[in-house]
Amino acid sequence: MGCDDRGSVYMMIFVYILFIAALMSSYRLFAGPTLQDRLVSLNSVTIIFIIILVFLSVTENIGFYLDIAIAFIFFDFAGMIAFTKYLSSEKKK
Amino acid sequence: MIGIVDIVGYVIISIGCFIMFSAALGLYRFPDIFMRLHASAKVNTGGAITIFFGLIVLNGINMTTAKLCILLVFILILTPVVSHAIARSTQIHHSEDIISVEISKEQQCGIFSTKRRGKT
Repeated sequence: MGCDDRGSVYMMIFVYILFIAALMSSYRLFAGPTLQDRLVSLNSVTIIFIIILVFLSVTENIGFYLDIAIAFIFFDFAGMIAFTKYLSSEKKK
Repeated sequence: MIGIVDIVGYVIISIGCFIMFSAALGLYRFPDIFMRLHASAKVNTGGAITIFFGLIVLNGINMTTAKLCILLVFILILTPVVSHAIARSTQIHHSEDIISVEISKEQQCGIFSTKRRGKT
């Protein structure tokens, strides 16, 4: 892509919009009534930060951020499946 | 100088950012766990795929595009699996008093009215 100044400015505007979206999603992480609300919020924030990582990688031509993003989504998947298996096997009061 | 391909890519990325922002708004405003899952799961997946498709259009054909295709396929597979697991965990772990809307017995079509399958 053309990495001139104008393209970099557009990319930073998109990064700021996604950061505001991450802040709005992380409200549920602190104020969710059930525990699954916090899991949904954590999953959403993880996806938004993966997209921000890809934006920074493409803008600044740093290649290994994409590898970090691919590893990060696998750790997110493993953590979420572990949490939900634990919550499914818990005894109901 | 910005060509026609860059303009198309920026428009697609803008649409994706709007979709991600509406997903965050739904996660912030909806009153119920299932409504929040409904807002979060599909819309986050669609927004991420739209943004990655815009980056692929913007980027041309090189090694970065291959990694972006891998990441797009992984998000397309793994995010609905996680949302389904969270919904199944909610169905098993909680009783029906977390639903905020009134659902009659005929309308709720076997979600909470039958026995929970995880408990045997």
